[in-house]
Amino acid sequence: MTLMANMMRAGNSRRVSMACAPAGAMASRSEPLLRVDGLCVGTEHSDLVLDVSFDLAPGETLCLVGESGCGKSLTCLATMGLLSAPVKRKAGRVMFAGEELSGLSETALLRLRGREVSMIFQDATAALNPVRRVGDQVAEVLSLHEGLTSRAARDRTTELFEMVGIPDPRARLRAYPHELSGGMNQRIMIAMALACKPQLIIADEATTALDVTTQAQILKLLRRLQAETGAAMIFVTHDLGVVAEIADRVAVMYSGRIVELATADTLFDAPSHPYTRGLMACRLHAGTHNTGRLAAIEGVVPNPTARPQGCAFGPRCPQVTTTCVEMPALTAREEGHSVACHYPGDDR
Amino acid sequence: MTFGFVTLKLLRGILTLFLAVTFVFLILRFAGDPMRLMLPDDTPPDVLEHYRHVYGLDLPLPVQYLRYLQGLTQGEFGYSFRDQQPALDTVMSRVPATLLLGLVSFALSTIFGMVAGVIAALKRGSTVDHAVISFSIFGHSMPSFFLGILMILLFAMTWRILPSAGMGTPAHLVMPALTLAVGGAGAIARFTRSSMLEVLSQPYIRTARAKGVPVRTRVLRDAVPNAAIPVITVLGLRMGGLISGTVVVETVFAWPGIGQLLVTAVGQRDLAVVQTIVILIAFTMVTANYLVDLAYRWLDPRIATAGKDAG
Amino acid sequence: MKILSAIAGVAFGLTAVLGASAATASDRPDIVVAVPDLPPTLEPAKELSNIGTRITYDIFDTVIRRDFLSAEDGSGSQLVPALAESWEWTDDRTLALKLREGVKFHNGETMTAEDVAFTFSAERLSGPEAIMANGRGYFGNIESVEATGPLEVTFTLKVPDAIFEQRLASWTAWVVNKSDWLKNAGDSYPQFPVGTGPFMLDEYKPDQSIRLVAFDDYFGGKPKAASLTFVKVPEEAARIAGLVAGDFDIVTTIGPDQIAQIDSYDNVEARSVVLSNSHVLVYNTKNPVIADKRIRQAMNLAIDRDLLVQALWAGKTVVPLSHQYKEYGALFEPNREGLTYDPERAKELLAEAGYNGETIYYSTNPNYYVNTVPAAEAIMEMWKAVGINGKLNLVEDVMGVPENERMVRTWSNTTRFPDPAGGLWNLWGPHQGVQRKNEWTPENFNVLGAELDVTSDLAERKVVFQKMLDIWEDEAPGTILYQPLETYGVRSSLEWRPYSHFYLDLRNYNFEDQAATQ
Repeated sequence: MTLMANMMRAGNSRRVSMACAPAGAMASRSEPLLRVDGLCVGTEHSDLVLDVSFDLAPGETLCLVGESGCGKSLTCLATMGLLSAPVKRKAGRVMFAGEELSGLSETALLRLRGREVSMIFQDATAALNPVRRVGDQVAEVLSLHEGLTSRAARDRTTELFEMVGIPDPRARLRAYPHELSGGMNQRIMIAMALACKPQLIIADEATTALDVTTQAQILKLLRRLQAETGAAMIFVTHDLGVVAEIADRVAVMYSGRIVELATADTLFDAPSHPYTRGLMACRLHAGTHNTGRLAAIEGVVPNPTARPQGCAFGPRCPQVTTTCVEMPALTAREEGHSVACHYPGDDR
Repeated sequence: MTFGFVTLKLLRGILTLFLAVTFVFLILRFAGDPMRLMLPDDTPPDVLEHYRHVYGLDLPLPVQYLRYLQGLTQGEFGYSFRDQQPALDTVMSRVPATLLLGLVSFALSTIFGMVAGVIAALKRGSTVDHAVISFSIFGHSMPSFFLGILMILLFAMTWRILPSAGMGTPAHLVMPALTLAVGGAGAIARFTRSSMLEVLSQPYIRTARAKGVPVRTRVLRDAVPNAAIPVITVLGLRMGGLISGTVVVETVFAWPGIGQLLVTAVGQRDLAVVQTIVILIAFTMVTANYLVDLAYRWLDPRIATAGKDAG
Repeated sequence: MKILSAIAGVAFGLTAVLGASAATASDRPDIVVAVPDLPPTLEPAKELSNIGTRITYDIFDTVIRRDFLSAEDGSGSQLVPALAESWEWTDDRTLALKLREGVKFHNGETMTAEDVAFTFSAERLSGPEAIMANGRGYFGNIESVEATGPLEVTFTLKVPDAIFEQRLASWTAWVVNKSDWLKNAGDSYPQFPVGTGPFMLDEYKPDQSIRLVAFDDYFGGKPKAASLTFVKVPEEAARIAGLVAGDFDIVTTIGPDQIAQIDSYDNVEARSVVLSNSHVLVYNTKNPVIADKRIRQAMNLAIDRDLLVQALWAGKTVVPLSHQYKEYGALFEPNREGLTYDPERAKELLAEAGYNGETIYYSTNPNYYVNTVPAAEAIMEMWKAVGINGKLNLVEDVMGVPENERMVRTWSNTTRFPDPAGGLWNLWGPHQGVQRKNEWTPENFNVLGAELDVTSDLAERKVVFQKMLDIWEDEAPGTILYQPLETYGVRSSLEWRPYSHFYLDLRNYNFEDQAATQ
């Protein structure tokens, strides 16, 4: 397992050199930028995110990993206050820069969104308004939050386009999303997200819809920009390859809960939850890349309205025992590494 | 907007007009002798024959048809049996009245329908939404004839706040325009609502929210322009029916427009006038279709590009 | 370009209307009449329908006037002087009229014998090339008409005509101004010729309204209304609503079912008149299925006309005593048995004729005559009750049905002048529809009719006419159902009576506005 993790991280030395200190240690030292505490999200009849808690230090990158439907995106949306009926936050708090986001009105949130916290969505082409010029869509953020005149906003947008590596930025201002490639649109989304130099960027499957080459370019871009602006980032993916590229810390989610939370190094070196190990195994299976489903683990994610008693992973777990009908708590295994399993790291 | 597009549209429009003219010409010729309807019951046969000759109705049908087509190419629409005036003049003299009624009700139904549809979609499931849906069903199922009479009874007879019939002051316009607008507003509201609901669930609306765009701006700048695209089709249909759609309402409210003229002219087999009106209606439809295409291109850049690529 | 001019037209129209709404007040009332339709022209010999004559009657005069008010029910037929002061037959083909002096036309000209002679001239009305071809049916018998003096006109007829004076008081006989008419005739006939009547044309808005204003130089005296506006309101409910709301003073063409509704309001009322018109059925005697007259007699005997009147016309309309009317005066025979209902006799006749349930087609245009479909449906039932297998054919053109189905069709008979020559003989005789269409070709009837034409002694005429009625009833080429009712809604304070024709006469002898004079 360790070997495998090392293989995966080979050729990724730049990231290691860039991270001057273990991120987990950094988080414990300074006041966190974002603290999610006991977050529960769901509808009236179902719980989709259960008791999710994590911290995020300034400049830090946290990856949320898991199969589709495990609650990653909802966690992000809840953080942004972007849940829409019938899904709502049922419990928990979101603290951002000392302020409780979960207690703010929509109006107050609107002032934060796009300026302090911004979000990059999956499938940028769909996330951009098809009938508006991309330049206008980006410039809108600037005039909204920084009160720029349309001319100033346009100039700034041109710079942003240049910064995110859009060729011929001035001409691209007038393009419509359907006239650009998916990768180009994702660069525009990133430009939009970074326009006001936010402290936190939430990227929800930001590279999933892209081909491998473009994906690599975008990740590189995000890393560079993050370094330049010092923004913290929550990066949602189900692709461990991407995690390896970008993460300081990783939270693995399964069926609405965080089942393992660790620094990227720890996680890849010593994955402790059977589910995490399953994910690692899948990484090696050709053809499962990007599909979001785990062919190597039998069965499917349980329906949120019909979770098994105790550990939700139990029915799929190779190590399941009778103890597992009791819900394992997320407990610290060592400093900065928590696992929710009765038999963490047990390789039976 | 390429040359090919324009030519194709033009040719299609001309073909539509030609078919409409031919169809109406034949139907009217087979529907009975206009002279027997125009002249009193006891008109001597030789008088009937005299008038048939005067109007060229004694000629073989193909000859009549070719003559008529030839006339059309020279802008000659024939003469009304009823008052011997050029049919085109008679028809055109009624156009302003119908256009006034049609455009006012079109504007009313569009504005009211779209606003109601947007609000209903935004407040989905609320009382407002239910009210809009109910209104839409009401507008759709209420015959304008019945609604018109109902309005007359209420506003003219019981409350006496509006004139019962005719054209003149702006007050005269209220009831017919409202009657005409109700059905249209209902249809437009229904379409706008469903289109809006579809759009509101689109990722780009969430993007707008995520970048801090306030609700009002989000709705007006992001949602409505997208939601309007499918609604354009309905608006186009209504615009195409601007002339033909007023028949019942014009009759109920004694509005002196094309609709009333058509009723009279059909009843009296005033061939030239009926044909001219049909050409006008077909022309309106063709024009409305063309405008819909233009509006699509204007509202939806994706179509404009597709056209560019094809051209 | 058209659109631009249309928009300009709208703008202009609105401005004009808004400007005009500040109407000038006058001590004489402005009367507004709501009608279902307006005529395309006011040429009095052209527009002979109900929609035309109700208006032209107030614009034009005849040389001799029929006084409808001479009978209580508005169907009077007494002839009184109008544009002619007196008239005299010099022989049985020559009539000399002495015209009233100083009668003014709307254009200010004084009426002369030339105008009257021109009105009836071969060129305009009576000749084979007449511009108003309709006129020939009424005045084709004129050999010549001449101005034999400044105020004297002499008619010479081809053959004697006992009812020529009635003709002069009737349709197409309205006098026009010669110079105006000729000036405006052009290629066609003028739209709005000048008359001598109490009202003159002020404004004609096609399909909208026709406004007449008082002609204060009218020879019959200054009109009591300042203006008379006919407004087109096609919808009956809208007409009634407008009447009740005070928008209209008189509304025409109200169905019998609305009478109670109108009378339920305080200041308006329904006024009805039985028209000089009958709804009739025509039987095609040449169709083999009903060629036997006993079958046709049975069809007539099976119809319960009183029931139709009660059920469809609220009991307000009447069934005439055969094809004769009280306005015929001395020619009317009040003791005729009339059109009887005898289903038992009908069954006998059917049995005698060997009727075997063959389908008898009954064709009618559902939208032409009031109550035509309910009447037809009721008659189907009445026929069924005696064993006649009737089938209703709702068609646009009753003559357009296949030859073998041409058996029964609906028609109406308007008595244009109060004489059989303007009724039974005119309509069922050889010069008109039924015989021309070869549906009925009676020899005796035609011989008698020709005799009627040249008989001027009233007693003799009555004998001839009654014989004609006997033939018509016996041969049964059709039947009368009833005389329909014409109902008006009228502001109660208006003294005005409807006539048995559609004329809406607002001359001083038939008009007083109590609301205005108070």
